[in-house]
Amino acid sequence: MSQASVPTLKQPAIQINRLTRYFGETRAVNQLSLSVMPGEVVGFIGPNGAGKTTTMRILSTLDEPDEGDAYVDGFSVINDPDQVRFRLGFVPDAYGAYPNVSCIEYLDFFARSYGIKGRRRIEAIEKVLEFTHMHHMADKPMNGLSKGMKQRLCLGRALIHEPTVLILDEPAAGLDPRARIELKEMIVSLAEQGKSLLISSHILSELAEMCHRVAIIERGELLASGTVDEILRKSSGLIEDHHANLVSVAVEVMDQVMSVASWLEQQPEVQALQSKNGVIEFLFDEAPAARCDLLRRMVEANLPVCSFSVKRRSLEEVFMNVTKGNVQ
Amino acid sequence: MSGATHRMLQSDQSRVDRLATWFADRCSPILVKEARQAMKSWHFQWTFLLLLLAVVGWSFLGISTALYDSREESGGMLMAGYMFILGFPLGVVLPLASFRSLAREFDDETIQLLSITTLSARRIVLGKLGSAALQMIVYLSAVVPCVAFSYLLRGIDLTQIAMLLMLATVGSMSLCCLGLMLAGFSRLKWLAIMLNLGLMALLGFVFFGWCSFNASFQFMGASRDVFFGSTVFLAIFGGTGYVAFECATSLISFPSEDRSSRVRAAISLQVFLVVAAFTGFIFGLEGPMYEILLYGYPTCLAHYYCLVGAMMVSEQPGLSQRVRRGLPQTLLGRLAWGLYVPGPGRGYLYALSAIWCWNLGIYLLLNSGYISVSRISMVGVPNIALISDYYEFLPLIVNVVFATAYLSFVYLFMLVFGRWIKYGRVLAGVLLLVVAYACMAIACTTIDAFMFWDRGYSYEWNGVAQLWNWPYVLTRIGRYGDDFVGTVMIQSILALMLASGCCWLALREWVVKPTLVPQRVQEESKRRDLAQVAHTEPTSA
Repeated sequence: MSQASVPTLKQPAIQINRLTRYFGETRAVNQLSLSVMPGEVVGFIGPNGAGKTTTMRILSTLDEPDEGDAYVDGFSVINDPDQVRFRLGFVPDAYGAYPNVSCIEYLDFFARSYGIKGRRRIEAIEKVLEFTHMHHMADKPMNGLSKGMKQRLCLGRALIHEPTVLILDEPAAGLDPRARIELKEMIVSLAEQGKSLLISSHILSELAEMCHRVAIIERGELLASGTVDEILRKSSGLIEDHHANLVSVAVEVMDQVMSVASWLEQQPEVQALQSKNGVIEFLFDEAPAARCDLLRRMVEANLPVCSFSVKRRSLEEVFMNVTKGNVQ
Repeated sequence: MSGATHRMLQSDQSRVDRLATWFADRCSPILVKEARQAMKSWHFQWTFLLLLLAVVGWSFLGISTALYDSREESGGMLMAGYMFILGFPLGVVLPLASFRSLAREFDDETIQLLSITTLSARRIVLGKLGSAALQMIVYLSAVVPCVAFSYLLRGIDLTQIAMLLMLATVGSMSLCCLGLMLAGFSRLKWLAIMLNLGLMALLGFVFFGWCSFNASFQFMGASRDVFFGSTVFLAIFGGTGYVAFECATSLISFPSEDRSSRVRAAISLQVFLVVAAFTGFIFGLEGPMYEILLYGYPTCLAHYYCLVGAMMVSEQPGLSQRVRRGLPQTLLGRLAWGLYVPGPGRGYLYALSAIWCWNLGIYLLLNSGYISVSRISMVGVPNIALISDYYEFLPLIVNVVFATAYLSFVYLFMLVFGRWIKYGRVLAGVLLLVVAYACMAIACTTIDAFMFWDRGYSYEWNGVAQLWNWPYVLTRIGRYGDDFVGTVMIQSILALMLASGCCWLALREWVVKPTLVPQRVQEESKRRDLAQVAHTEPTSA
C-alpha cells in the first residue's frame, strides 16, 4: 500500500490552511497546514494531546478554528459546513450508540438524516451492510454488538451518504487482531475506490502499511509530512540535504567484523558506518546497481557476508526521531 | 440482499405502505427514530399502562361517588380527575423525557454524529419536539373517550373542555421546549444533573399548580374571567415555549450560524402575546388597572428586557460569512431587520428600543384620554379617574431610566472587558447584570442604614444614597410622588448621557455589508434541492 501510486489531481480533497485553535491559554492546534489529495490515504500521528482530534473535529465541522480555515473539496468548513457535510464521513473515537435501536434502524436513521429517501435509502443501506459484512447482524440491537462490530457499523454510518472524504479518529483502538486486520482491509478497499482518507492511530505499524503519506504533529504543530522515507531523510541528523539519495544498508557477517568494517570504510561511497552485534550498518547510494556492484566486490574480496539488505526504517523509528515527547 | 433490507423493500409494495414511506420521508428522521425507540422503551410503556389503569380506576370511582351522592351533573368532577391524571404524563413525564432525550445525545456523544449530518439544529429540536407531540397524542388517545363520557354526564361544556385540553397540550409542549432548552446547556455531566434536578423541581411545582388550577376551574365554571385567565396562561406558555424552542435551536447550532435573530424575533412575539392577552384580561376585570399599567407592565418589561438585553450585548462581536450571506440584500430590508441581526451593538439597540417603545405605548395609552382606568384611592377603594398630573408618570420614567442605565453599563463592560472572556460570554453578561443589581442594592441599603443610624431618618438623604437603587426609587415614587421629580430628573439626564454614548458606539456596528453566496455553493444547493424533490415523490418510494 505504501508503494501505491497516488493519483494526481489539481484540487486537494482536504486543504488545511494555517489552522489555529485555542482552548483557554492552550494552543491545541498551531498554524497547521496540510493537504490530502483525492484517493490518498494520509496517516495523522502524534502523541496524546498533540491536536489530532481537534484538527479532525474542525475538519468535520464539529468545531471552529480561531484562525485559519480548512477546505473539503474546495468548500470551507467555516462558511459552507453544509456542503462539507455532504462530502465528508467522520468516524469519531466514540461509537455513539442509541439504545433500543437495531443496526439497520441506525443506518436507516442516518441515511434519512443525510436526506437519502425512498428506494435510494434502502439501496444505500444494503450497500453498506454488504461492504461491512454485517448482513447477519442487521436486526441485532446496537447495544449487544462487540467493539469490532460497533466500529464496523460506525464506519458504515460514515459511508451511508457515499462521501468522497473520510476522517477516521483512532479507528483501530481497542480492537482485537482479527478486527484490526478486517478494518485495515476495509480501509484499503475504500482507498481503492478513490476516497481520500485521513486516519489517526497510535498503531503505527498498521498505519504505515495503509497510508501513502503520514503527517506528524506535536503540540499542535506539524513537524513533518511525506512518505516514511522522506520524513526520515528530512529529520535524521545523520543525513544532510545533499545525502538525500542515500539508503541505510545492513551487512551481517559471520566473523572478522573489524576487518570487514575497515574494508568497507575504504570504499568511497560508504558513509556513516557503524557496527553492532555482528551487523555493520552504513549509508550507501540508493541506486540498486551501485549496491549490486558493492556486493559483488565484497564476494570477490572473500569477505564472510551472511546477509546484505537495505534497512527500511519503521514508522515507529520515524515517529520517535521526529517527536520530542512534549505534552501541553 | 439481506433479510432486513428485503423486509424494508417488501413493506413498500402496497399503496398504503408507499404513502406511509413517503410521509415518513417527509417527517424529521429524529421523529421516526425516536418513535421507534419510544415504542420499545419501558418508561413509555409503563406510563401508558399506568395512565390507562388510572383513567379506568377514576371512571369507576367517580361514577360510584356520583351515584352514591345522587348527583345529576357529575361531568365536571370526572373531568377534573381526568385532567389531574393526564397532567402527570403531559406535565412531568414528557418534559423530562424531552430533556433526557437531548441531554443523552451529549452524554453518549451522539450529538456530534447528528451535527455532521445535513440535519439542521432546528430540525433536530423539531424532531425531538415532534416525538414528544406523538407521545402526547398517544396519551391523549387514552383519555379522550373518558372526556367524551364526562361531557355526556353534563356539568362541563365543550368550551371548558376545549380550554382545558388546549391548556394541557400547549403547556406540555411549552415545558418540553423548556426541557430541550435546558438540555442544550447540559454539555457537562454535573451541569446536566443539576439542570435535571432543577427541571424536576419546576415540573413538580407546575404539576401542583395544574392540579390547583384544575380544581378551581371546576368551581369557577365557565365565567369570562376564567376564559381570559386561561388565554393569559396560553399566551405565557405559548410565547415562552417558542422562545425556549428558539434558544434550544441556537444552543445546538453551529457557531458560525445566526444564533440570535430568531431568538430576538421570538422574544418580540412572546412579549406581544403576553401583553395582548394580559391587557385583554385586565380590561375585563374590575380591579386596580392603573397600578398594573403604571407599575406592573413597565417594571416587568424593563426587567425582562434588561435580562435578555444583557444576553444580547454579551454576544460575540463580528458577523460570520454565513450570517452575512443570510442578511437581506436590499437597504430597506436591512433597515427593517437591522435590530434582529446578531451582534452586541444591535442587541443593545434592540433591547433599548423595546423598553422605550413599550413604555411610550403605555404612556400614550394612559394619556390618550380615550380610556379610563380604575385606581385604588388613598382609602383603598377603587375608583375611576383619568391621570392628569405629569408626576404620575414618574414610574414609567424611572423604569426606563434604570433599565437604560443598567443595560448601558453591561454593554460598556462587555465592550471593554469582553475580549478576555473566551467562553460563556452570555452567562457572564447575565451574571454581571445580577451582580450589578445586587451590589447597588446592598451598597445603597448599607449607606441608607448608616445614615439612618448616624443622622436620623431623612428621605432626602436616602434619596441621594439610593440614587441607583431601582426598587427603592420605584417604591418611593409611589409613596412620595412629586417630591422625587428632581431625583428622577438627575437620573434621567445621567442615563440619557450614558445611553447616547452607547448608542453612538452601537450604531457603528449597524452598517453591515451582506455577502453574496458563492456561485458554487448556490449551484450545489440547487442541485441537491432538485435531487431531494425527485426522491420524495410517492412513486419513487
